[in-house]
Amino acid sequence: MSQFEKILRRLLADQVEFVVIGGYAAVIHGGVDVTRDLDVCIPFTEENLLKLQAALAEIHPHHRLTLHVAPLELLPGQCERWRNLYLKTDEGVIDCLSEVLGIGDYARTLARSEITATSFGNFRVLDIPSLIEAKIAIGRPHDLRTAVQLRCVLDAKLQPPQ
Amino acid sequence: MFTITSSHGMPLDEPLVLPVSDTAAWREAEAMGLDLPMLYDSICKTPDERICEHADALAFAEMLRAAKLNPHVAV
Repeated sequence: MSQFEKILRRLLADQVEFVVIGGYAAVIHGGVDVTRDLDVCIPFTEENLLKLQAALAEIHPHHRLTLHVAPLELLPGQCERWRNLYLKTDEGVIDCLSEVLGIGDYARTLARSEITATSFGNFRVLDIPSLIEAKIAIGRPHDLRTAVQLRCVLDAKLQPPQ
Repeated sequence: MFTITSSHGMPLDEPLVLPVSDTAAWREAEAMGLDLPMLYDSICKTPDERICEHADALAFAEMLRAAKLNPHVAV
């Protein structure tokens, strides 16, 4: 079982609200580039953040962009200061974002997502046109490369061969 | 149908035909040197198969990375 599958299973089991975005969303749609982190857009409500913390508790989440190892310690009443969480766990990296560049906040991201059915559960993934927009908005070379792959995926789905 | 005449920026000995429409996206992907047969294979897979394949590719990439950081790690 892949490390990202393990994390996704935990999020599903604890009913965390999330939409898969970024490079891993591209992989799920058919992209072929390898990504080292799982990016999700989540509502940064206290309820959802505490569910996220509970879901990841067994795999020791800690902030990965701090100088010293700082465990994820969210407390009721103190969740509102967070906008993004960049976490490393025993099962890999998960970056939780409150908004997606080129798309908007969680509500907009959710509205432009689709359900992906897998053997371990159904979850939402940013749809291909929106992911292309997001990748172009970020604009790094590998994001543009992913955008081209996604356009091919979209073409293959929409246009039968002539 | 889309006929590939090069892969990874190198001309192919024999053109390869992919059963997809000849569109600007596929032409751009070819011009970027992307591995189009691999991309087409991935499109034909299920999400489960893609997740599994990505896990294998990531594990391999991590092994190469470890070998680069520590030359004593066997690849």
